[in-house]
Amino acid sequence: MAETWLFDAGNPYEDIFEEALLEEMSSRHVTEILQRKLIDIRQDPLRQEHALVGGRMIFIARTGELAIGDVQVPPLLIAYTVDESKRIIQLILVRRDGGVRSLDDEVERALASPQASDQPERRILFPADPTSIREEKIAEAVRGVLRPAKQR
Amino acid sequence: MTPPGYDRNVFINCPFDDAYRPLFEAIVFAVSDLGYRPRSARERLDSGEIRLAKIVELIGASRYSIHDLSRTESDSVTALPRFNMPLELGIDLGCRYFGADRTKKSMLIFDTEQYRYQKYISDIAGQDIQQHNGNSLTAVVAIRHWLQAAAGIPLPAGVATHERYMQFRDDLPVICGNMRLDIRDLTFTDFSFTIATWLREHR
Repeated sequence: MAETWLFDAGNPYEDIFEEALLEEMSSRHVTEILQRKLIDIRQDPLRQEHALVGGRMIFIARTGELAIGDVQVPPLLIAYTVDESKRIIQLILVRRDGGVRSLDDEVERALASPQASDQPERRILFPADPTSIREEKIAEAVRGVLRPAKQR
Repeated sequence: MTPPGYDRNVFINCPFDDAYRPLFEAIVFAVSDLGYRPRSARERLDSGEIRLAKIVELIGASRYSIHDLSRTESDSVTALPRFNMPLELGIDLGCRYFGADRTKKSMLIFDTEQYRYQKYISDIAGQDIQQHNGNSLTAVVAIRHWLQAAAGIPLPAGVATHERYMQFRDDLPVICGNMRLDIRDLTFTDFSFTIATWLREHR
């Protein structure tokens, strides 16, 4: 079975993507649609429309015109690239689909923008205060969830 | 002098009711996954300390804070809003302005709509105010985006953190089942410890 695709935790375009996402997420419905599309992308990122932009293969996922209840949600477009060998997806931007802005220009600008070169630090801090349940009991319960997954 | 851990502590000032619980859990998870320590007035709820003194201590011990004002609305019974969260935000702002060694304090403020705060607490204009629409993805991305800018160090991507949160949410009922506990039985510290342990096992 093929390994699962993941969104890159060290995505070099993350700041640009997040800025665009926070700008577009004007309502609960827009967020809900975007969230569903991200799940689609993660399941099969190579299935979406794609094009060469600035010498890189860029995938474009579109939500299309959708309605949640009586609310019409504007169509969104998500641009991303992938690293097939690492099975990771790097999100580049999200915006309203259509309009006069050139997608190629926006993607090229995002690809050319200065990116953080350092990989994110993965630090885990445990609570300063004591737990009410024995710590080892919690750790065993967490490991109990991992075991079946590892057997698959 | 700031206390040990100050630069990695994030004080979370959010509603504690059941309806808010999924968002609260997402916020606590995001703070942990980004490498910071979530702090909350809930962590010592039963310790018998005076509530306000405990909150003041936690605010003073945290360089970062998240204040969610989205529940500033009239109560259906009393017709008055509950003002604990804006009060705690005020204490935090005071700490930043009057604490000589706390001028680098940074805070993220959540509200339901973009400019709603102008109708009831307009003096906070100029702070980082975001809307989460009650959605965990927006909340997690907003937290990561703010913390990355405030701390100035590379942090894991917000969407990836949210993906991990969804995975953790799927695992949590089983983890609680393994301990023969209901999710609601976990104290804030138990919950934070569970997240940290889960993250350690999923490195």
